[in-house]
Amino acid sequence: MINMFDKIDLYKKALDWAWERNKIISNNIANADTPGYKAKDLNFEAFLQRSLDQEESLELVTTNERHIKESSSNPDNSIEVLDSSLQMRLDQNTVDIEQEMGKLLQNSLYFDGVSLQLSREINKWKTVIKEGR
Amino acid sequence: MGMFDAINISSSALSAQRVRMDVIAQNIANANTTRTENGQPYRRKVVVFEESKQSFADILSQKIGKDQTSSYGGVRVKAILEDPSPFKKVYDPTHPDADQNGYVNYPNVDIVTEMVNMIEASRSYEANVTALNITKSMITRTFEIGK
Repeated sequence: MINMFDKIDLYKKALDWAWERNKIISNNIANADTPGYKAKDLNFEAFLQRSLDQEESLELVTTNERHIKESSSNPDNSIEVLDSSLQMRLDQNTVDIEQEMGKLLQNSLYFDGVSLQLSREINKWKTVIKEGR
Repeated sequence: MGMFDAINISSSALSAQRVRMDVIAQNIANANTTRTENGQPYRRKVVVFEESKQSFADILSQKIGKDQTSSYGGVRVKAILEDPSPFKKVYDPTHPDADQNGYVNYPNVDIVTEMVNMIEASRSYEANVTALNITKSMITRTFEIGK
């Protein structure tokens, strides 16, 4: 049997990511004039992986103590990434305000899209529960 | 994951830019002040920003694994410092503050620099207002989920 909330949970994670990213981009814009501040962004794959890990552990099963264990701290797998594509200003600040505004808009549209999908998913279930009436 | 975190970040930036604007206004207002409380001409003031550190509670919940991502505190004014550059010397023997050679020390305020900084501050303010509005629309959008 399909789980009723599988899709809803997936959309929830996508919304969580967009919400978190909105915070980071807002922080970048807030610090556009802070000397030495480095622009940040979210790593989507790592974020999704980590929120999936919360529910089901994906650790390697070891049957012998000499088996190599999965390393838990992979440096490439960090949620937060420094935005390295941008050039640095004289005050060592890497915030590009135009890029950040574009990202902010993109992220909000993405959020709107996902929340619309989520609403439709919920409405589908409502239809089912009401037996199509 | 606080609901109003993003709003707090943007509003911290708004108040920081406001402080900057206040200081610029102060500099422009005192561009010709040759005598302050300490007897010296007015010195131009500069606002220094720093990234606001997250609170103790945030770090704790991060360390014990409650929160997956780090939190952000926005920006704050670290200090308002004085510009150490030399005063402008203007020859005006009739001025009451002139020295024995007839030179008056005027403040190291450059009006053009201040105007440029003022435009920059107001643009930054606008960018943060936009960020604030986008956060607001995201929050209202979540209220409409399932409608």
